[in-house]
Amino acid sequence: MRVDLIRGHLDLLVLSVVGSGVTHGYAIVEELRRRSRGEFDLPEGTVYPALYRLEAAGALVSDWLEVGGRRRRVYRLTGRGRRTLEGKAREWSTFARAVSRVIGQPA
Amino acid sequence: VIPFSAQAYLARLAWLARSQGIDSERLEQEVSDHLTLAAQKLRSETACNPSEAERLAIEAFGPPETLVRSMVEITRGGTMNRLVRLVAWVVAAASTAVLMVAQVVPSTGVAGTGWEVAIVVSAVALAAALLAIALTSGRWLLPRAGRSTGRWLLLWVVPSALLGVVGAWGYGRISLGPVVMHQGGRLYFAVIAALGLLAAGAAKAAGERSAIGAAFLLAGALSIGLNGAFDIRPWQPFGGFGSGNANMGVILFLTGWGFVTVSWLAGSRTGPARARFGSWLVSAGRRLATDSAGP
Repeated sequence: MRVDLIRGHLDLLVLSVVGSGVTHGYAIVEELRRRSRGEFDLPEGTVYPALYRLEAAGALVSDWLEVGGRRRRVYRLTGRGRRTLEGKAREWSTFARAVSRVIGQPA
Repeated sequence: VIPFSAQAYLARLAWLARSQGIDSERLEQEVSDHLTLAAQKLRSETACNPSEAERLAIEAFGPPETLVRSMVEITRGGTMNRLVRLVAWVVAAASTAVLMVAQVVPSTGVAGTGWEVAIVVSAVALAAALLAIALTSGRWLLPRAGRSTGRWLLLWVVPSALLGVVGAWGYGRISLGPVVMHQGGRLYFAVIAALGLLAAGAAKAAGERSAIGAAFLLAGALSIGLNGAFDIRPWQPFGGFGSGNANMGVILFLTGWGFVTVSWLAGSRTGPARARFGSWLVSAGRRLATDSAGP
């Protein structure tokens, strides 16, 4: 799938993955790949600007976690993030249904 | 060209991030952890050797330039954001200059004179410019490692605001219950210094050097805005210029601009200019040494 197509929806995708539980950058990329069955194979570094942007917007919070002697930055959803996720998911469903109707494919 | 080893990749990433004034330590550690995990997975899945796994992990991650470019967009905003911030800095500097002139040139109070209009206009322009700088500086809003934005902002705002309030006493004495503080006395200056240190400490602890200067600018703005509000005389916002009552506000402003300039000069964005200046000094020194050695 085209990278720019995914990038437009990256915030929703990242929020959705982080919404499933506390997680870190690499795990988010892996989960995106797994859930999309390999369709979302974007450059892995793309996820970090999205994480920083969402954190600055107050949708995520992060902290360091010590794992096997290494520091790992883990992210979790805030109340605002959950509301953003719900709003974006609703928007996406409406949009996807409308596009499907226009192009004559079942939603 | 993407570096082939994780070490070279991280070094390039750190250099690029620092040159753009981004918190490179956090980014570097996150990317390092990511590359390690990706290389481990590649090795377990494809049985490739460690260096090959590292190279593949780096390739999948993408070039450091792309990552830093995206981070710059987030931390500094787009072109319009940068333009607004540049204009705001120019307006802030010009307004401060007008306030400084208004403080020095008139030999008496400025009430009812043309200076008063210039002072009010400059103070309003300065406040608007500082607000524009704060709102367009996403970097300030980015949480720092292990600290929440709210906590460090509170630790920074409270002493800065108190500094401004204390600086607003332009005359007489301050009575806070049993504590009596004479304006211009030792205790007064000790409190000013302690609050300044607290604000600077919060900025330093948050890893945001430019917030030290911003703390003094905020305090100076408050001090001038509240000028006389706590005195026995009537409150004269933006007043007291020329007659000496705005002295503390002006001093706080000058200190703020001093810190802003120093943090900008010492920052990573002026690194290449400092390096060029250093090389020029070295070559000038060599030329002098050659000339003085003679034929």
